[in-house]
Amino acid sequence: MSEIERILDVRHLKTDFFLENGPVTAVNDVSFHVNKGETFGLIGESGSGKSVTLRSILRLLRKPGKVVGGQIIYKERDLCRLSEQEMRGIRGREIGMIFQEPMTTLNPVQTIGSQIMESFKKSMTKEEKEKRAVELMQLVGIPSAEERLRSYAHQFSGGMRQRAMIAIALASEPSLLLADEPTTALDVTIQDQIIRLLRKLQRDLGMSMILVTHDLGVASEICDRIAVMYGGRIMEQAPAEEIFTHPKHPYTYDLMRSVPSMERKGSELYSIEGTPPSLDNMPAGCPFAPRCELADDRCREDAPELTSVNGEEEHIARCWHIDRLIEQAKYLKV
Amino acid sequence: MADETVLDVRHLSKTFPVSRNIGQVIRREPQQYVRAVEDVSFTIHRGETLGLVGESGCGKSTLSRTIMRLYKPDEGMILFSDYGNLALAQGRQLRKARQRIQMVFQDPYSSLNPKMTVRQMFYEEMSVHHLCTRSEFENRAKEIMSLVGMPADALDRYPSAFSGGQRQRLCIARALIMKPELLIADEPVSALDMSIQAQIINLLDRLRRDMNLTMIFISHGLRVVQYISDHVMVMYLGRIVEMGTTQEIFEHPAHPYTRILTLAAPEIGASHLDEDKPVIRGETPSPIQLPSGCPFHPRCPWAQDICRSVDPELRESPSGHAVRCHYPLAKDVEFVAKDPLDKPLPQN
Repeated sequence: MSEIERILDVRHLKTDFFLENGPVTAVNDVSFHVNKGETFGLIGESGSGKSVTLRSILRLLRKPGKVVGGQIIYKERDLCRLSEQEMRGIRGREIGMIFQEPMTTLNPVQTIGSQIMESFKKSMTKEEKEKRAVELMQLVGIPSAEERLRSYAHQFSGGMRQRAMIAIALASEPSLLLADEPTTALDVTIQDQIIRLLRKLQRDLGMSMILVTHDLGVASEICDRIAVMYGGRIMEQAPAEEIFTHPKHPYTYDLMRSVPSMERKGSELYSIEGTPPSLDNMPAGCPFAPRCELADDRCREDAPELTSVNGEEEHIARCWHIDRLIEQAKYLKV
Repeated sequence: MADETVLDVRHLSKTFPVSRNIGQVIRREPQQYVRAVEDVSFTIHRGETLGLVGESGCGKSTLSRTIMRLYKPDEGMILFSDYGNLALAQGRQLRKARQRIQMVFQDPYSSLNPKMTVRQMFYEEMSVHHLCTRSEFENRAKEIMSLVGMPADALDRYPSAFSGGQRQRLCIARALIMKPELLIADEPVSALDMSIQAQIINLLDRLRRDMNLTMIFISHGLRVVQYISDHVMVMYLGRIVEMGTTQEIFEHPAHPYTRILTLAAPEIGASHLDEDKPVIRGETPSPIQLPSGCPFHPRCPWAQDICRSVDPELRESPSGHAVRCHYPLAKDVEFVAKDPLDKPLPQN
């Protein structure tokens, strides 16, 4: 095995939703890995399959969703093959998760303190548990933690709730943290605080993290490697700096062009025409073809495979026209 | 005329009483108030876009609703186009003025009636105000649909048939069919997917140019505001903390809050956090009990002693860049106290 330890290896994951009109594929042949101590970003629009991927990993999918193919290797065990009993030992203990809406995921009738202490070892005494819970709350930056231990979720502001969520997720010292849009519901200043907090915690605790977001800016600030998803597939995957400076997939490139900025003021903003495809009506070829400027007949009929860009193993893109985009990117500054 | 003023808001204040429980009433505890909007003054000229920025709870939505007179202001004047002072307007005058101020809301899923076709929705609005006959309506509706980039046959469909971006186009069409003089867009792109946001921003920008529309654009997304606005107003706890042209606000922010807001917005390609940039501490204090002195001082990295005791006035530079801070960060600009009575009232 190489020096870098892979903590999670997702191979050819396929998740279907079994609806009345037949199954639709929400996640299609998604493969990626997360190394120890790094942050992996999944970017995409709504319906691109990024949250479903995250939930598939923890087997938190509700019916009618089901993982129908692939492997999710966590520390040399395939999570898809574990029994529900074994899965419970991993979920929340070894793999923690934080969600977008802290108000709907915190228990409203249980104090924040007892929710943090829930996942502590049974052998700990009450005093030990409380001391540890206060430490955790201080770690995530909740002021006057001792008093707040007995507060309820409704007594917290949005930012504080998200901090409490993070404290709960950290309580069991997970080696992998899954974060589903953790800052989307927050104000910019609070978002900035939470991003810094996550980054600091991750560095101090040597934790790995998968961050799901639709915000290119957030992803750029915190992720080491990024995968861009569209229509249930990974369209491009590369180290964060590489993907933002040299995007090789038209979708990634178009997304970055459509972000408003001062330099583009006065000129019309680039916009991707049309809407993302619906899962029950996927185009036959490349899912992005109907909205792509470079699309030709081949794109519309034949779905491209993920191929490496310039022979670099780290940078892969799913497009027939990688070469043309490399040419184009030389002339256009993102 | 280029400099025609469409909206002139002066010293507008709006407070809401905090509900008391029965015990508090019996104990005769004093009634407390939330100062949602406090002493806000600004003007917008025809064809301009004013960007309104601030965190949640800073009063930006209350301000826009008070301008539409969905709330009755406690103090101040709202001078709107030829319709006089809306703060005192009633009955017919208010109805006439409200036709000319239209709003687009954040969530296009909850702001369209699911049981009405697009045509019914448009017609209801037009007929309530007796704006046109049935035959005129058809042409107007088709015209407005093509203006927002929707096919004419969409008129007979229900909102459920459309995606988020298309719904927002319909919301914009519904606002524009009234030929408004002022369009208030309250977070119009925040709920949309990123590839759709650019489409809607472009649409609003194009409509504004083609129709010479005046717009108040409310958003917490600074990049969007920067792109679309001519002037920007930053609010904190119900008050204006800084106001100026887009360039002044984003390139030479004078108020610490503005500066921190511009820095806090995550940037693409920044590749990992800049650990040295100033960070805002804590959260917005409760608007019921404001901190002493400058309301921003508990979170301000540059706060001095005077900030804790003395509340700064809004001061203005010769170019109109206004800031409410004892120590504005734009060092080379001189800010002087604003004379509150420097503008004569329009004659009518």
